[in-house]
Amino acid sequence: MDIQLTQILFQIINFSVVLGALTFLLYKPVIKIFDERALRIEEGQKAAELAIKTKDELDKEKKKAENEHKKERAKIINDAQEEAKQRAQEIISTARKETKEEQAKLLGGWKEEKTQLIKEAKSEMTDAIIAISAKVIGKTLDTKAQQKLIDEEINLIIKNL
Amino acid sequence: MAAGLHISISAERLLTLGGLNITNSMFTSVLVSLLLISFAIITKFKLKNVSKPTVIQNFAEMIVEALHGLVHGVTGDLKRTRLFFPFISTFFLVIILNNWLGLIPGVGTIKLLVNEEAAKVEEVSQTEKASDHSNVLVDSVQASEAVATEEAITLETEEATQEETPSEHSGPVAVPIFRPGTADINTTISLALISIIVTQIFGVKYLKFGYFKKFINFSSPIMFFVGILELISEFAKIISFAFRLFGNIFAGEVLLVVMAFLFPVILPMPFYGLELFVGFIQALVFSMLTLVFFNMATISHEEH
Repeated sequence: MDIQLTQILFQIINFSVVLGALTFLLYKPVIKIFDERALRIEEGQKAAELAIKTKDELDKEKKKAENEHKKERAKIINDAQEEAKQRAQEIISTARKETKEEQAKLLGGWKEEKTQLIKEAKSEMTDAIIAISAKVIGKTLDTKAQQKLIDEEINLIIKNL
Repeated sequence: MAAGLHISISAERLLTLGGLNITNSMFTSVLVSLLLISFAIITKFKLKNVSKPTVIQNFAEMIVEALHGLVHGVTGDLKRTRLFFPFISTFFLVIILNNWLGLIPGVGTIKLLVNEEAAKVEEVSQTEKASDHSNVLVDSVQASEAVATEEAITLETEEATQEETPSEHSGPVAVPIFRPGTADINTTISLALISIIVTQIFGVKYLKFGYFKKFINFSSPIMFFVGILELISEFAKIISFAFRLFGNIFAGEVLLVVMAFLFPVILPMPFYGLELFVGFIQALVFSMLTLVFFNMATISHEEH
């Protein structure tokens, strides 16, 4: 075998040149890209983790708010129902009271009017009977006696009504 | 039959530039380097930090990511990975490309006519180095058997050289322009030297002078002896690295040449597949061993 120092030196230099060229033109730029990519992925992962965390927190807050709203809604509905019941009872009792008052008022007025009407009717009937009896018997009856007789008859009629 | 088979254990000279013999393996190594540098330059200009990279960027990222992952899997420490990665990757890429370049059809058959003077100079240098019969031009199928052991190669070479010398140097000699860099012992020795020297540098960088305790240790006679063994093992590593790679790739080259010579159609195909695999495995073995040596050199004895 032909071992020559010059050839060995030539090959060492050749290898060194290739090593230098590949290191600066290939390995370093590609590794730099790998590092940048890894950094970007890491940042992305961190951002994703943060987003997931934020989302979880927001979900929790949302659930909490929903629960609070539910409770508030239920409370409002309950209060409204209670108030409505109370109000209804108030309205009903007021209406009943007013109705009773109106009824009593009407009843009072009616009785008075009835009494007045009866009184008027009695008076008219008395006058009419006196006139009729004067014409029939040809004499005028005593006013007091007539009045008593008429009243008795009218009361009888009223009773029978 | 004797005319076509051309097997040479050492790289052959193509031309001489300023006193430096340019061999076909050097030429191929430079070609591989240019290919790698061109790829790196193209990648550099195509690199963009976007979500949809180009085909070239994807390919470059795939290679770098795979090798980076491989290195990081062994070191387990990002600082060490970033330090070792360029060396390991370059070893892998240079070796695998050199190994595979020899498998491209036509690589061994494109030849250059080298003039007689050059061939004579070659012959004289070989004659002077009686023990070193490196250039083997074998015009016999028997030469393929000679690949099995170095001694056998030497014997066959002597026979072949004696038989072929008169006709061989009578005119210009046809020399293949391309020869895989890793099929030349000079390339593999230089790669092994780089690997071991850089291992020592990293050892000193991480452990300072404590690194040398591994070799020189007077704490006990056993440790002193172990230190000597460690020192020897560092030199053994160079030989082991160089000859493992050279042996495997050169043997593969010879195997393919012989198979193609015996039966040019179909028969060499499985061997091409095998050589593709061997080329990959050898590149991986060299890189992984270097990586393990780097890692071991940077870990203190207590840590280890």
